Amino acid sequence: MFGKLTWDAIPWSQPIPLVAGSVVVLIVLAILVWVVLKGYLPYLWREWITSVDHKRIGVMYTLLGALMLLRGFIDAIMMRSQQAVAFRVAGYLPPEHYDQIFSAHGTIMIFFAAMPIVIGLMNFVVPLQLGVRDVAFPTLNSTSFWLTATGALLVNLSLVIGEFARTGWLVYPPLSELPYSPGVGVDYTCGRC
Amino acid sequence: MAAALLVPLAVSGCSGGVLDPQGPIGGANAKILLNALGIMLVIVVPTIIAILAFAWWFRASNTRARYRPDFVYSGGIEIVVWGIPTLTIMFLGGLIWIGSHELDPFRPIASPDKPVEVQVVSLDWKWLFIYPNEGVASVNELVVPAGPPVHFSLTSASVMNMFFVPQLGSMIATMPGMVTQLHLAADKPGDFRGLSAQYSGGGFSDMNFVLRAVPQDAFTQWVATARQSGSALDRTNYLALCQQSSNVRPFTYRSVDANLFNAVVSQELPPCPGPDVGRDGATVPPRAER
Repeated sequence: MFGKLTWDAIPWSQPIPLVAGSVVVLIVLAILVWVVLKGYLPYLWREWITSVDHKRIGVMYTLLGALMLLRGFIDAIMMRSQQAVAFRVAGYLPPEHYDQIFSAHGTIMIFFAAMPIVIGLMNFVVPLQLGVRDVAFPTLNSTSFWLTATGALLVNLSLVIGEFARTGWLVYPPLSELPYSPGVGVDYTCGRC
Repeated sequence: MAAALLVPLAVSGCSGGVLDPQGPIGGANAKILLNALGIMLVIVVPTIIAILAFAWWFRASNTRARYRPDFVYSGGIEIVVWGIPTLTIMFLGGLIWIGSHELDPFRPIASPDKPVEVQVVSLDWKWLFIYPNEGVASVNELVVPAGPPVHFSLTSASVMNMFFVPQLGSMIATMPGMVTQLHLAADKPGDFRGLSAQYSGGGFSDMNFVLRAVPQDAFTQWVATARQSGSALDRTNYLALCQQSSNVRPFTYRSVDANLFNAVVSQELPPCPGPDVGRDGATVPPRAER
């Protein structure tokens, strides 16, 4: 069922992604438990998750963008601190790890921070400006948002399962082709599309 | 006061970069850069001054400023706000159009001297420089005579890279299976930093070289020394050099297979191998090629 996916895909030897991943999983679990215990789940499901209201979708886009902005910001801090300490010494990030952060930062900041924030604003405001009830295809709008959120989830999953691309966010061939990027990273990059 | 603060910044910031050109191409590049900056400042500075002046003049307490809530249209203002930017863009565009054609990397530099031929192959992650006329080659060190133009033919044996010597100007891409050309010249002897300006994988940050421009007799001397030492760059040695490595110290080859560059370009010599596996602890076997 899992094909080539084994426990080896999780970087047990690397503390940075493991700790970061565990903290995120704990936060998500805590929020889920809180939502369920408080009995907000039906409300959340009916009013937000399955909503086709352009304003709510706009709000969710912007929230996703803000969350991913935070992730991209952490990447930026890691890169800049590496550059600050790695003058004539190796620093704390090996090249293969740095290159993943560098690629993930570009991908996340453009596709999951900048674009959702702008699209969220457009979703919210444009129908109001036009004086229409909603966008032309509300269900498609909802589907778009949840596909975007799934893409964001996949890119972040690469932190703890497998690896992210080391190709830069422009993913130029032949660097992004199989002989020069044999890992699963480029597959994750393509998940954003 | 501001100028006194800016001068040391300006002087310290640009040695070794594109604003400290050491050859005709680099000089022309820097000229376009500064001309474009000057032309844009002609627009930007008056605009900023106008914003501040308008904001100050139309402040709430100024009773002499005319209040015109029913203002709709002014042909004069339209002419100014469309005409001046259009003229500026045409002027700037013309300047850059002509400059780009004059500085076309493929275009030879007019010079009484015969250009020095250098073939450049970017490898993972080092630079191979082949001197077809002299029959020698070097890695991560490019020695050229100061004065005469240098004609580079560039290709890549693995992934895309960008050949760039900031002080001599014009960067150009190296691509597998293709040949790009570049003409540069150094005015006087000196050591200039060269680098790859296109991210190309794990060893990228150490993919640097030194371009040493030396007097003509020192160049002849360097070629003679190179012919005496090092190994021969035949296909076997090329395939060994081809393997991924980074931070390679400069060295030379005493002779070169005359057809090597063409064999790399035509991919008669196969592209250099990449890494075998993914991240440590995340070993993912490469999929079988279909």
